[in-house]
Amino acid sequence: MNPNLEPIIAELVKHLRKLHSLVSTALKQSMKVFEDLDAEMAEKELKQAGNIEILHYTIEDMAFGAITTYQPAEKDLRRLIAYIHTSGYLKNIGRYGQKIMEIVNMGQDLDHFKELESLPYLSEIANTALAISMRAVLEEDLSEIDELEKLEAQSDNEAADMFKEIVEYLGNYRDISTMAMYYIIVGRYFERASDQAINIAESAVFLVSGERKKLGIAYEGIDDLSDLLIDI
Amino acid sequence: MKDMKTQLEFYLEEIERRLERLHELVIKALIDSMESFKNLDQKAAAKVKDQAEDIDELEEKIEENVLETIGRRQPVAKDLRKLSVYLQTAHNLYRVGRYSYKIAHITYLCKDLKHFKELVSLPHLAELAKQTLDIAMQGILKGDLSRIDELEKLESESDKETSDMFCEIAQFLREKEGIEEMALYYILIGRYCERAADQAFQIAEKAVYMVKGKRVRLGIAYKGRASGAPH
Repeated sequence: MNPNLEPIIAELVKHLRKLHSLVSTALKQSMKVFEDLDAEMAEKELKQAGNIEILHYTIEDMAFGAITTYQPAEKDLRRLIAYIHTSGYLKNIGRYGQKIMEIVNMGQDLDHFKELESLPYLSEIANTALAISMRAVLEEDLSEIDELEKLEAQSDNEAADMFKEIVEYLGNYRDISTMAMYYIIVGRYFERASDQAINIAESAVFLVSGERKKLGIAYEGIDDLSDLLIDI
Repeated sequence: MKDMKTQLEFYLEEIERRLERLHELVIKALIDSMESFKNLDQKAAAKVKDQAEDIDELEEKIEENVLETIGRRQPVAKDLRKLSVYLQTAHNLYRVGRYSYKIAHITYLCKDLKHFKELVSLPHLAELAKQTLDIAMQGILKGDLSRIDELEKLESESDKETSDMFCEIAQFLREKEGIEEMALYYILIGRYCERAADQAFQIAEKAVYMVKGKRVRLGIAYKGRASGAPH
């Protein structure tokens, strides 16, 4: 590595770890807030959302500044590009967390019509997938990438099961359409968070090997409905 | 110095041409994918998948061009901001290309299925996504932000359409049996269109940043004014 870049990379890694921690906490909190339909907490959490954006822009500016100043090549350049993309994906996940909290604000007169099982599980999968992909980028270690594919399959199955269950409820009860729609949307935000984690992992592969690889079953040509759900 | 600036301008123009082409390809893939689904046309769906590959390749080329330009020309201030925006815009457009691929793939999964209702909302959502992308790209390629205010109106229309579509599908699910799979596809495709519009919002935010040097957040849901489904 260009020795001039070393302190900048170290600083960027520190910022990315912090951003990951903020985003992961926001995602977990959004699930809790939705589970409890706690509008007050949602309002409070939304006020802190700006920190994620600010840190993302700091990372972006630092990385572009380093590219201009030191004109890195090969792996040094790939690393900075991977950091820029990773920061953008983390910011997107942060926004999904915020949107879930906005749903809580919108659904103030609504109640859950079923016990929540799939959504907390999808949230957990998203956080685990994110932790794996962040380790791949920051430690430049691709050994856990296969694990992501397994998580993706779990997320697919859970989302498909949840949809079937909601369809059954729709058939049996009236006046639950709005809440049912929120369940589907919130589920999708968690799946989208997993999808962003897969994008981060693709950046990690690009950083380490210089190859552009499409990870995730959904892109590779699938024959089954559940395989599509990861990216809904 | 004058020569260097000309060189940089030459590089920037080349990237802009490619971005324009990428935008055209992405819009075509999105509209074609919706047509393939509307008509459950397998041949058209296969073509969209090929278009998606072209989109992937062009995005990679733009990324290489941007990095090469930054490395060779060491741009500063507005030019650097422009290049960073081009890099990310190409990536946003590429994501829309992926949604089109997935819509085309849903058409493939529907080879033994039929529509249980006339498709109105989905083509409309695709059209709204197209308009949103067009406005955002006008900001990027021409530096013209005059239509940015229209984005919020389009978003609100898209939210309302999605919400109405969901209620309609819920009603069909109560009344008809054996339509669950197709109903899920409708919801999935609707979300892909919304996500395409979501990418357009990210592009529009970058356009504002590029032109004014100011970072803004666009979108009604964020401001807590949405009455329907969140974006």
